[in-house]
Amino acid sequence: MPASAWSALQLAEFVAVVSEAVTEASAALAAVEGAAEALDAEVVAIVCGDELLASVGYPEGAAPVAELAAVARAGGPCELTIPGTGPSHATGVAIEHPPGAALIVARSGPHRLSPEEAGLLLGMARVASLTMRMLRLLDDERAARAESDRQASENARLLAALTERQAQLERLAAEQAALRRVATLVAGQPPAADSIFAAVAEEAFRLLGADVGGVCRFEPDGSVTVAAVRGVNDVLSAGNRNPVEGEPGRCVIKAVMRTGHSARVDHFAQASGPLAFQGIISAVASPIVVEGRVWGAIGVGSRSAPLPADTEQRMVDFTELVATAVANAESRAQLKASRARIVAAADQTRRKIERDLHDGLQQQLVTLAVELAGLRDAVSSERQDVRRQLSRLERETRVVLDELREIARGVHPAILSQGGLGPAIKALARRSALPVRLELGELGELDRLPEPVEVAAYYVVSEALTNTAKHAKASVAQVDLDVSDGRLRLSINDDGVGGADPARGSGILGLTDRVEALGGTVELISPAGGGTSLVLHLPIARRPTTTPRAS
Amino acid sequence: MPSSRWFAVGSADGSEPDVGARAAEEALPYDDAKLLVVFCSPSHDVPEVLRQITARSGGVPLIGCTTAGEIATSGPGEASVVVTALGGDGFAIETAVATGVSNDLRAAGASVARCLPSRADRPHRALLLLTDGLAGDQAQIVRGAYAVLGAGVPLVGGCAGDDLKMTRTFQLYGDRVLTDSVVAAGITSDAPLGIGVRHGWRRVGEPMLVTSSGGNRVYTLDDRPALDVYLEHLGVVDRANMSGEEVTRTALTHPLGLSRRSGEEQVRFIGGARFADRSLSCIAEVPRGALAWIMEGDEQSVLSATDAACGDSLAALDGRSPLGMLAFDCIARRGVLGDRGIKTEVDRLAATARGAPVAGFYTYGEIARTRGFYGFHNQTLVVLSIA
Repeated sequence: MPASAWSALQLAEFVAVVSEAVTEASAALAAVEGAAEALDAEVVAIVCGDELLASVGYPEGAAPVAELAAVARAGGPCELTIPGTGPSHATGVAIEHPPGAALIVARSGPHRLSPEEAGLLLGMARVASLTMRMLRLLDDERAARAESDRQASENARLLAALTERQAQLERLAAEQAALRRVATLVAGQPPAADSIFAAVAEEAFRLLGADVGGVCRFEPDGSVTVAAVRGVNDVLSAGNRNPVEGEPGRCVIKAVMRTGHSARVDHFAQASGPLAFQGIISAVASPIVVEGRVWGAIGVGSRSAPLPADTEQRMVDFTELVATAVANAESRAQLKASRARIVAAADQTRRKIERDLHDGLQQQLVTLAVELAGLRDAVSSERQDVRRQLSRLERETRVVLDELREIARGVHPAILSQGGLGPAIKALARRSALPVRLELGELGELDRLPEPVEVAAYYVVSEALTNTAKHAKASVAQVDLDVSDGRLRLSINDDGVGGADPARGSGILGLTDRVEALGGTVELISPAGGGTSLVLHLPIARRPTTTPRAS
Repeated sequence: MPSSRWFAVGSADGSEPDVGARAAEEALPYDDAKLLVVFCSPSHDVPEVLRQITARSGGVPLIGCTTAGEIATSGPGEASVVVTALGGDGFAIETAVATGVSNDLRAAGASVARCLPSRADRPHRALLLLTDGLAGDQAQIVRGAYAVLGAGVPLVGGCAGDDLKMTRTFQLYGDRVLTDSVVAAGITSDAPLGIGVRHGWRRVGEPMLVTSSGGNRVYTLDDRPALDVYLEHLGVVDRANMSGEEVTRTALTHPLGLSRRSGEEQVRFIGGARFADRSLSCIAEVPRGALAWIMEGDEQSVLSATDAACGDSLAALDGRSPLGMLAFDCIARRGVLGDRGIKTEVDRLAATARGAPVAGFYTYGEIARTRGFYGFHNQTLVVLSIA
């Protein structure tokens, strides 16, 4: 075979072998092995400066990089020591990639590279260079893609973190909203503890992802009263009073009662207590502490999975709201009782004054007037001046008596004590400077209401009619009274100028305390130019309270 | 008083009982053996043969393999066991094994190469490799070993056989019988180790271009199915009706030769054909882009190669007489020489050895790297002469 044909053939084989490489490093190794095989050379290496990219012919890790670099720098035929052979012919040719690299060949035997072999070496250097460069580009692209993938995965991680954060925020927002709803209830008027407990049970149960939620109150005898409950209506309902029989380690309510701290049971197989057989597998309860004492507990339970570890923490806000509600309710109850006591004491005082006036001063004045009349009649007609004097004294005494009666009626209208609310209102209407229409419903002459109710209603009508006469510029007033379903509803309307300011008439404001002490309300509606309407609601029968007990 | 180095061969025929024990007994005249090399016919109960040998040799390092025929001083054998022992203070030898090598042949070659003792007082070194020729491109094993040892250490050896069944070969290591393995002995000596390699084949006809190949398999030659082009070049007319066995038999005496710089072709033994895609399967890599010739030989050319290989190995002994010779002879050469021819060949080997014992086996591929880079061969005789 002609040398040129042989050379072309070898180069073709070399291309075939080197082109199979998939990385720059493996291409370099394939190139040195391919060149060694084609040129029957023991040593072939690619060096770049002082860096060895690939070599064959030296023991593992023992390639003499400095010697090889020297051959590369020589740029032509020179000598290189081949292991086991000794100094031999070596040749280095530059390759374009990596920049500054050279392909070095050394073989034993007497022959230097022939011109064909030198040409083949150049061809192989060119092929190796192109292949390595291409693979470097591919490596770079692969690295870029890997970096891009890494960034994409980092982005995905960030997005996931963001989504998680957002979910947390949403959870917090939901929690805040729930708390706000309960807080609104707690702060709102009228404050109904029942509805607060129900709301707390509902919100806590929903927000904490529980299947059961409830609020209970601890009784002095160790039992608990269910204030509100969700999820186990067939076992417990609000108002039930239940003994707590479980062990503290197996019943969260008992544990809270004992320790005053949050408690958890996650293995309900060993649990006891009212919910132990409701399929609950995990329960948490937290204490409601009102003014330093454990008033009761909020509890939640799950039938599907253990409640999250932060459940106790998240319940704290609810327990605080309930504690606030309880404290408010207790304060209000105390205030109401206190007001009732004050009003009752005042009424008693008024009655005593009225009685004292009636039995004492009034009787004495009557007696004085009668005696003055008797004395006048006993004075001889000659002493007309004395008789006139006595008659004047008698008249004045009777005026004082009338005034005293009027005062006594203001202090405590005797007609109210004697005749009841119906006759008393009629008397007020009669005395009013303004025409008054009465609609007293089915309240009969002899129907009596509890005295505090009658007194409060009487004074409201009295004060309203006085105000109407003084300020309303009305032509007529209308009083409507309705007693039904254990409640009294009384309204006083006029066709006057309206615009009444409740703060201005201290009389009405003062009556509010009396009314509220009885659990009633007074409402003033007085749009400018639209007349004035005063509405009184009063419970008549004292029903069992559902508010928390005051201790 | 033994010399500081000794080399002994024991062989026993398969028809006799305790074949392993007797071969070992003959191979171990002294008690300071450093290495046993066992060539065992696959017709034997190989684990039992190995047990008999190790019972005799004790803890002496042992490598070996099954064969496609054994060679001993007395002549070629079938169903025999040949045990070679190297002993004496003049040798320092370590052995190594790699298993599951078809996963990474190059790594296997590198791994076993690291067993070569590092002895500055033993300037003469070689790595003896026995491999599973059915486990893939054997050239990769040689490249792996070369990458570790470099040009300073010759590589020599052969691929285990299975009497041409081409199904499974075994490698022996200590008391283990393995397959898909490489066993190796790193030999250092205070006297030279000479290696010769020749094939004795010549090109016939026009060259063919390898247009598609992958590893050991040649898919197309001159852009047509490799099997058809190969048989056309051989002048086979009734190609469609050839059986797999017929193709293998034909290929045994008509390997492919790949052009090399030295002018000496690399011969590629064709192990068989795959009819599904009409491709050819070789024992080592046939690179795409290579120019290939069909090779042929005759008794005369093959025997000339024997003489030349022996001569080359002895010449490397710096004038010393050999203690013994190990021969790795391609099974394909046996096909060319015939039964009479191989007897002649072994006689010539023994004669060249000048009375020194000879051991070897018929291989599925030969390893010999003394110079240059390339070290895996087919259809050759490789001779290791030990001084």
